[in-house]
Amino acid sequence: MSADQRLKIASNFLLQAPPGELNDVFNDVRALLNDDDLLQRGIGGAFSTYDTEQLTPVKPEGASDEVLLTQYNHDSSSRYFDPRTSSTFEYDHIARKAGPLENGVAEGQDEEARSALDTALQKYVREHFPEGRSGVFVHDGELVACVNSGRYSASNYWTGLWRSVWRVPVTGGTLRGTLSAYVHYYEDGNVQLESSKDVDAGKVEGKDANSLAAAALKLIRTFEQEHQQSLNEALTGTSESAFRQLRRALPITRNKIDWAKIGSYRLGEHLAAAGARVGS
Amino acid sequence: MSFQSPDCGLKALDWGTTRSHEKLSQLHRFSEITDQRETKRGDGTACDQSDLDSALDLMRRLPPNRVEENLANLIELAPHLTEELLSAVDQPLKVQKCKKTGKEYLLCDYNRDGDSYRSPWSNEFDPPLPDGAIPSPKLRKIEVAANEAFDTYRELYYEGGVSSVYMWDLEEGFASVVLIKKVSDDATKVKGAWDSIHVIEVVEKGGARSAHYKLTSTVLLYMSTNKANLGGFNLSGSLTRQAEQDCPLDSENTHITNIGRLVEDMELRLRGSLQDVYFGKTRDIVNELRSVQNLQEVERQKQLQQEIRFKIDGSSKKDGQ
Repeated sequence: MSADQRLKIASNFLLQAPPGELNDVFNDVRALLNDDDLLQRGIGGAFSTYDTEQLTPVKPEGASDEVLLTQYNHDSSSRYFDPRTSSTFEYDHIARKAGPLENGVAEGQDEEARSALDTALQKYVREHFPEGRSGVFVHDGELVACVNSGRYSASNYWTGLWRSVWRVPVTGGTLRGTLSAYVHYYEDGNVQLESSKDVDAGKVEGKDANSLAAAALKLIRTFEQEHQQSLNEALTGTSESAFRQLRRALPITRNKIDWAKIGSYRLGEHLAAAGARVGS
Repeated sequence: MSFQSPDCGLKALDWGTTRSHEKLSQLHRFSEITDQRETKRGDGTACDQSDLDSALDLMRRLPPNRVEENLANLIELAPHLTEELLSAVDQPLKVQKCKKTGKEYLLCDYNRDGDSYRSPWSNEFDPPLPDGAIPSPKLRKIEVAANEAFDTYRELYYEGGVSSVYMWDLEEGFASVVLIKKVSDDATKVKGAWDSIHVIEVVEKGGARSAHYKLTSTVLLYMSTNKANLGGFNLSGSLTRQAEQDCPLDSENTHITNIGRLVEDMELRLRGSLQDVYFGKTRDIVNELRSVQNLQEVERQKQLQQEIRFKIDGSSKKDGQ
C-alpha cells in the first residue's frame, strides 16, 4: 500500500474523531501507521480541516480571550484572524499550540455591524450555553456567527458538542443557519448521536448595526430553542416508540418464556395472540 | 516532533472485557485478556498486541454507523490484524436466503469458512464447500433444536426479523452464537435496526450433570430519520455485557433451556441499558450542551431567593429581639 493511500486512510479516521477525542484517535492512528515522518509531512491538512469544522476555541499566547478557529477567519496559511482585537495569530494544528497575537490589521468597514452582532451573540451564549464560546466574522459580504459548546467528560465516558453557524448579509437580508449536535457515549460500548439541521430563518433588517443584531438574535434564539425541543422530542417520543417496535420488553403474553415448553409455543402463539386481541 | 506521547494500549484495556468475538481458540482465555495484554507488552508479540489495542480503541471511538467502511480501511492499514479484527469488531449482520429451504439466515464470522457461509437450516455451505467445517453429529442435533427454539423466541419478542444459531465443538465442551436481526423501515417515521449477537461458551461438569456457561452479548442498535423539523438525525451504536453461570443438566434442563434463559435475561438487561443510554443519557448530554432555560435568569432567580431568605432571617432575628 502506498504512503499516499495510508495517509488518506489516516486522515479519514482523524476527521471522524468525536469531539474532544482528536488526541485519542490520533494516538491510535499514529501507533498503527508507525511512520511519524509521513504523518508530520501529510496529516496537517486533516488537523486543520477538523479544527475549523469543529469551530475549535483556542487561546492565543498571552491573550485573555479564546478565539474560534473557523474557515471564516482563516487565510490560506496557518494564520487566524481575531476581529475583536484586530490581530492575527499562528496556530500549529499538530502541536496544538497558538502563537501570540500580532496587531496591525486595519479595521474593516463592516466592523460596526460585526461588533454589534458579536456583543449580542455573546450575551445570548451566556444565557443558553454553560460552556459556550462564540465569534462573529465578516466573510464574503456576510456576517458569520459561530457558537461552539463542547463538554468532555472522559472519566464518565462521554463527550458532546453543539455547534451553530449563522450567516446574514452585512446590510441585512436572509438569515440562514446550520445547527449540529454530537454526543458520544462509550462506557462498555460505543453510542453516537449525530444531528444536523439547516435552517432558513427568514429576513432580518435593521436601521442600524444594533437593531440588525437584535433582529438576528431574536430569530437565532427562537430557532435554536425550537430545534433543541425537537431533538428532545425525537430522543424521547419518536425514537423510543420505534425502539419498542424493534423488540418487545416481554412477549405479548406478558410472561417470560417457559423454556421447558418452548416447543409448544408454535401452537400456543396463535392462541396467545388471539387471547390478547380479546383482552384488549 | 511535537506529538504528544501515544498512550495506546492503556485506554484500550477496559475494552478487553467487551470483546464479544474471541476466536474459538481464544474463547477459553477470555477472563485473562487484561492480564495477557499487560504481560505481553514486554516480549516479542508486544507490537501486535498493542497494535490490536490501538485498532480496537479506534473502533470504539469512530462513528458506529460507518463501522463497515472503517473496518475495511483499518484492515488495509493493518493487514496483520485481519483475523483478530474480523472476530473482535461487531458489524451489522447480513441476511442470506438458504438455497435448499428458502429460509433466511444470518451471516457472521462463526458460520463462515473461506468465502462460504453455512445455513443453519440445511447445514450446507453457500457457495458449496465439500469439506467446510460443520459441527459433530451430536452437536448438530442440539443446533437444529436451538434454531427452532430461538425462532420461536424471536417471533415472541421481535414479531418479525431473522434468527440463526451456530454451534461448534471445542476441546472441552462447545461454543455457540445466537444471532437475531430485526429491521423496521417505516418510511414516515424512524428507521431502526436491531442486531443481537450472543456468544456462549459451554463446559460440561460432573459427568454432564451440570454445565458452566459464559456469555458475551452485544446489541447493535441503529436509528435514523430525516424529518423536516428535525433535519438529519442518526443515533447508532452498540453496548456489550457479559455473564457467567452454572446450570444443572437433566431431563428438564437441557443446554437449550439453559442457553435460552441466559439469553432471555441478558436481552432484557441489555434492552434496559440501551433504553437508558439512547433515550436518557444522550438526551441529558444534549441538554448539558445547551440549556433550554435561560441560565442568567436561573442565576438571578437563585440570587433573589437567597436575598429573600436572608431578609426573612434578618427580620425574624429582629423580631426575636
